[in-house]
Amino acid sequence: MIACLPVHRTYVDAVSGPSQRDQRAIETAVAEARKQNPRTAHEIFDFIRDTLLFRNVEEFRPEDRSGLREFVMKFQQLTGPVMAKGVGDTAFYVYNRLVSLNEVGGRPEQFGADVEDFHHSNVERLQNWPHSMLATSTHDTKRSEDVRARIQVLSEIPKEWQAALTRWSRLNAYHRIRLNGTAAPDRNDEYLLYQTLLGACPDAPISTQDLQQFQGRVLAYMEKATREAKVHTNWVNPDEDYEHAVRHFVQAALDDHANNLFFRDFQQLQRRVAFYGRLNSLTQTLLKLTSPGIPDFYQGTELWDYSLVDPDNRRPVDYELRRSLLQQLEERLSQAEYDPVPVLQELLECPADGRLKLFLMLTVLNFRRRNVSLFNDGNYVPLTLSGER
Amino acid sequence: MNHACAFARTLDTEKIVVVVPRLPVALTDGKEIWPLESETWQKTAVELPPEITAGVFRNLFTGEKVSTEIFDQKHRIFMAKVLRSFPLALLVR
Repeated sequence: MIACLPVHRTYVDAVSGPSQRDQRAIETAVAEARKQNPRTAHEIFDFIRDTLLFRNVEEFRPEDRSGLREFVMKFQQLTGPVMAKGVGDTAFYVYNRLVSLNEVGGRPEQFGADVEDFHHSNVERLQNWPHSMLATSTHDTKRSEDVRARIQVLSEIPKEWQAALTRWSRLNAYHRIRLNGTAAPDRNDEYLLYQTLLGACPDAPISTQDLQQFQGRVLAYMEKATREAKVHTNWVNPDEDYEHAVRHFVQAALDDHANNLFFRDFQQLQRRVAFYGRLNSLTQTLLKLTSPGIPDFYQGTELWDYSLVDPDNRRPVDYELRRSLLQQLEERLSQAEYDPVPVLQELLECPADGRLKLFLMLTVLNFRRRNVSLFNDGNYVPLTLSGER
Repeated sequence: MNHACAFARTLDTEKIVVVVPRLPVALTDGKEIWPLESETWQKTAVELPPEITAGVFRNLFTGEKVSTEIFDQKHRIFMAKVLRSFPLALLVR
C-alpha cells in the first residue's frame, strides 16, 4: 500500500480527520494495492483504509484508541522516507530515459509540458501559494539547474542523439569488461553516463587538468549512481568487479589521449548541447525571477553551475570570482546607462563565462526590489502568441 | 506559435510583459545562433489583451523602446522587435 501511495505522505490527524486530498490518496493507494494482490482478502484492505482514515475508531475499545492514533501517526511518518528511498534514490537511477526529468518531486513519466500547462501552474500557484519558494537548484537536487537545461536539449534532437549513442557505444565497446557472461557496464549505466557527461562537462577549451578533475567527479558520480540503482551493486554489498568495470570504462572514455576517438566525437555534440543549454538556462532563470512565487538561488548558481548530485554540488564556491565579475558588470552598465546594448553584445559573444546569467539576475532582482508588490501580489496574465513561430 | 512563452504581471497601473524563447534548436534551425534575427521570428507576435493597453514599453535589459502595433485588429508586440538585441525580454510599461 505504501508503494502505491501517489504522494510522499498524508497528514491525517485524529481530531480534524482526513482532508479531501489525503482521503483520495489513501483510497487510491489501497485500491491499487488490492488490484496488485488479488489473492489477499478484501477485508484486510478495507480495514487498513478505514484505520488510516479514522473511520473505524468506534470499533476499537476505548483503551486501545490512543494506540490506534499512534499507529496512524507512525505509518504516515514512515511513507515519506520509503518514497524518498524507493523513488528518488532508487528508481530515478534506474529509469534513465531523459535524466533531467528525474528530479525530487518530479515525474519522469510525464515527458514535457506545453505552454498552457506552464501558465496553468503559475495561475494555480498565485491563487493558492503565492509566496512559495521557486527553487531550481538546491543542496539536494540530483543535477543543477544548468545541467538539466543542457540535457533537455536532447529532447529536441532525438535523431542526432540516437546517432551519437550508436557511434559512442561502438567506439567504447572495447572498454567494456566481460563479467559472468555479460558486458559491464550495462547499456543502461552507459546511457546514464553519456547523459551525465553532456550535462556536466566543463566548457571548451578543456585543459589536461580540467579533464582530470572532471574524470574524478564522474567516477565518484557513477559509483554513487550505480549503488543507488541497486541493480549491479549497492551500498550495503558493493560488487567490486562491476564497480571496477565502471571505473575502467569512465577512465578510458575520458582519457586525455590523442587516439581517444570517443572524446573527440563527444565534444562536437557537447558544444551544441552546451550552446542551446545556456539559452534554456537563461529562459529558466527569467521565468523563475518573474513567475508567481519567491525565487531562490542556490550557492554558485550566479554563474553557470554544472554540478551533479551531492557531494558534487557542495564543493566550495568561488565567491571571489563572482564578486569581481558582478562589480565589473555593474560598473560597465552604469557607464553605459543610456545604451547597454554594446555590453550585452559582448556578453552574448562570450556566453561560456556565465556573465549572461549574472546580468539577468542582477537586473531583474534590482527591478524586483523597486517593484516588490507587483511581484508579490500582482496578477498573472498568460499572453497568446500569433504568427509562424 | 510553439517557440515562445509570454505573460504579463500587473498591479494597478504597473505592468510588465515577460517574453522567452522555447525549444531553441528548432527555432534557430540548429545553427547555434542566438534567436535574434527577424528571419528567426518572422511575424510572430504577442497579442495584448484589453487590460494591457497599447503604448510604449521599455525593454529592461536593452533600454530599447518598443511600441505596440495594430495588426489584424489586435494590439501586438512583434518578437523580431522585442528580441532584436537580447534573446529574452522584460518589458516595462
